[in-house]
Amino acid sequence: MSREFLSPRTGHARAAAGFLGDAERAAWHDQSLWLVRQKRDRATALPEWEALRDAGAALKAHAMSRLAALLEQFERTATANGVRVHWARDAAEHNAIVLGILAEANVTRVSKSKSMLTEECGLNPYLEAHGIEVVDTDLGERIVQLAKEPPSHIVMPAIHWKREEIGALFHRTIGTPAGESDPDRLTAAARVHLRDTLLTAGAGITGANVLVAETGGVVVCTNEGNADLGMHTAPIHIACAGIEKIVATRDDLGVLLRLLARSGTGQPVTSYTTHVNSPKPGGAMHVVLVNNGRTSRLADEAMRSALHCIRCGACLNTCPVYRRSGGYSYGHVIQGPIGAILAPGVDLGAHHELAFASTLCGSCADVCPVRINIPEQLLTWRERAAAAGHAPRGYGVLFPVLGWFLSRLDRFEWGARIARRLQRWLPAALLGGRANPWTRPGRALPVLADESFRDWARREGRHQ
Amino acid sequence: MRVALAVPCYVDQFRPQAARAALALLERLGCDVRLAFDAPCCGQPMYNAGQHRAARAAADNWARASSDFDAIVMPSGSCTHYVRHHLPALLDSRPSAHAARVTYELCEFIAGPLGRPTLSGRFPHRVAMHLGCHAQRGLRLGGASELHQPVDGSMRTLLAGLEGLTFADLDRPDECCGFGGSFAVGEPDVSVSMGRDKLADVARHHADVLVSSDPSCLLHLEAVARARGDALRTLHIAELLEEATR
Amino acid sequence: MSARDVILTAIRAARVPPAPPAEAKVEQSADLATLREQFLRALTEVGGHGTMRLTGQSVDALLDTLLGANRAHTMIVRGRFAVAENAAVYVDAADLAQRNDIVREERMVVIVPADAVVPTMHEAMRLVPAGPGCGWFLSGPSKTADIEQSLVFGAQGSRAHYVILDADENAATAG
Repeated sequence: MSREFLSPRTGHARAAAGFLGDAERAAWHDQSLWLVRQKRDRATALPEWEALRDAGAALKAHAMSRLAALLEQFERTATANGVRVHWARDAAEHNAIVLGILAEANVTRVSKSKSMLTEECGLNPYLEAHGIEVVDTDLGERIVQLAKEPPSHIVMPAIHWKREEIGALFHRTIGTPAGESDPDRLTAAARVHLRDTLLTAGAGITGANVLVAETGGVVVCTNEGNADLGMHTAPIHIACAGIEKIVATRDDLGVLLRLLARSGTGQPVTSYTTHVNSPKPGGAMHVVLVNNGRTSRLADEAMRSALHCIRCGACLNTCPVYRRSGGYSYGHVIQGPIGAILAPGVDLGAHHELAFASTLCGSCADVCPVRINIPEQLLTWRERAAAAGHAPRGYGVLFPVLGWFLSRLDRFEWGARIARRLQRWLPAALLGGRANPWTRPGRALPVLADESFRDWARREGRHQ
Repeated sequence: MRVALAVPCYVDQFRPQAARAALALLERLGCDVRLAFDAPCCGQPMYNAGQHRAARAAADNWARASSDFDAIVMPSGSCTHYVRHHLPALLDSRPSAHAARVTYELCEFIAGPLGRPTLSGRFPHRVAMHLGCHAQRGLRLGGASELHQPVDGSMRTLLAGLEGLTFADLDRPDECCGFGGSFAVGEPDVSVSMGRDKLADVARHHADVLVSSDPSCLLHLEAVARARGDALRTLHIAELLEEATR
Repeated sequence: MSARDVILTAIRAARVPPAPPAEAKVEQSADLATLREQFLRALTEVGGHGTMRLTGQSVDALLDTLLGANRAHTMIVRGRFAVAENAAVYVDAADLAQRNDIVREERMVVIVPADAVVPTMHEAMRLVPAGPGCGWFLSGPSKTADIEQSLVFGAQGSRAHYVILDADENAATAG
């Protein structure tokens, strides 16, 4: 790629250009996700949908306003029910707690159902470095795990994989017949493979879609039933959850369950919604409550509502940028619009450019089941990035210069006259070369009119 | 009714015909239109790039210019959305609060303060509409598919009375066109890809004209079309109405 | 300070202003026949099969119709109530021999009292036990669309999912 003044040479824009390099695959990716968005539209066409979104936003804001009390209530109730509750300040502490539980029980193989929190904490590589085998049980997660990749979508981890590629991967890793690419048969093969593996797992790790303070319970939603297979088969269940997952009551849970699957996959509810309030007879259950930067977000009034996220993935599916740039372009465990407002909060220096990977079209805010004001937060991150010296390359020069020209009519018209001359005398090839990001991907140079509106108005004696 | 026509910077230089059409249209609808709005830019390009310091001088100049008028019309949903929703917070001044109160997008002004007059005329073309995201989801000048509303809005209402006009309803009527201000150059590949998809949607429905209430979307879409040798005609809503009712 | 105290202190230091709880939901009212119809329709949409058991009908005969003579790999469980809007049936672990019975077999049959159909999850949540234990909302068979968005049943749990709405007046539901 040629050097450009404005486009970063690394990061989202470059990764997106790479993804779009395979135009056919990019179009397929866009269409796959658009179909999910359309399913969402159909599933959310309820008369009370907007009121439900209001309730979702309100119950989350309420939970954030009483977060400490709710977590204490959860701990009290869960402990009384025989659950061990652990607290982790950060990812390292979370991983160490999980390892400690496994080591104490001499566990060498664990199953894990989909949990974005454990991805955030890097639990898999950590446990593997300590000699523990981790088997991801969600089919999509298993696919990317076998391929040694991270998920590219928080709900559909392997949305970027084509069936033939999965067939080849399964042939290589779990021994399906060469050339097999039928989704039914590949899924059946994965089922057998996973069931065999799970029988010998010493613990089942799950995430938590919701923690309910009132019951001290953990709620896990899956379509495959894989979380159940993991947590009920092994003697130990470990649920890992960010502290923001808590809600006050079962009534609140009911609202979220109505919103979650409808928004995410266009289903009225997931096939399995599991409520675990206590360990199974003879078994053990642990809940690890993780902070890992969430309290900083909580203290940041303008950005706080990002903690409302229920990880439904609707904003990814609707995002015209995500659909065309792929999950990996975000370089963060959470992708898409919600990732673009979460990641800069984790490390502004590393992720500031995600705030610019949006047209601010607002579709994300309109599908968000808990009404997170994503475009507004993107704008705030842009401002903070600029203030912290992290603006995209060239912005710190271009925009002050532009601002100078645009701040007074005489400067503006003087600049426009110069530009008009340049346009007349310089060859278009020079202005529109490969170094110009406007023209490089296939866009003609805009043409300045021979006479501006104001010049016309003056000529007509209308400038009054 | 006395109004000022505030012409956005890029419209003044790149698409003056949209401003002239807006002027003619407003006058035909009985407005006394003032053109001495001598601030070139509201500050949005810098503001949306996060460059608040670079935005302030232009924004302040614009807000002060607005103080002389009781109603300001802009032929741009995007600029209007910014003036109404961001300018006051950026400047925290009396002129900016005034500007936010009195500024209207063109179609919004016709449908609102001007009392939705019936425009009769003739436009024998198949027309695809692109409302522009800030008009649609920012100003709510049209329904949003995300909210299960028909994606029509004030632009469609204005066009509906024209003789000979047929609508080419798009598969993704409110998908962003990919312009996004600085996004167009910061993320050029995604931007152009979105533009191409929008044009493909328009072509699939055999539209011969693409109309928008946002000249910035048109600037981008026209440039993508031109680079591909696509003969699609792009018109601002004011240009179309002016041509049809002349 | 322990991790717990550090976290709770940081939360309190964030000083989040009070926000009221969400408004209580409006209860939807519909007659039972409508709710059953809605439930059965939703069940079809989520890939399940449903039927009513009328007074006097034997469960065995119904199962024969649903499953055929072969009952291998079939788990038959009692559901406590059903939700019309999404075809979910609540099954409590107290009614199972073991928790992993819920994903053990390829065919799942849930028998639920036909007068225990509620409109939405709002009403359903009030019926979910608050105390220790475990329970599920099951809505259709286990499914995945992780391979190119093609819907496949039986990813991990049941491949086929049946619900019998039991309207037998002297219902002694099977378990």
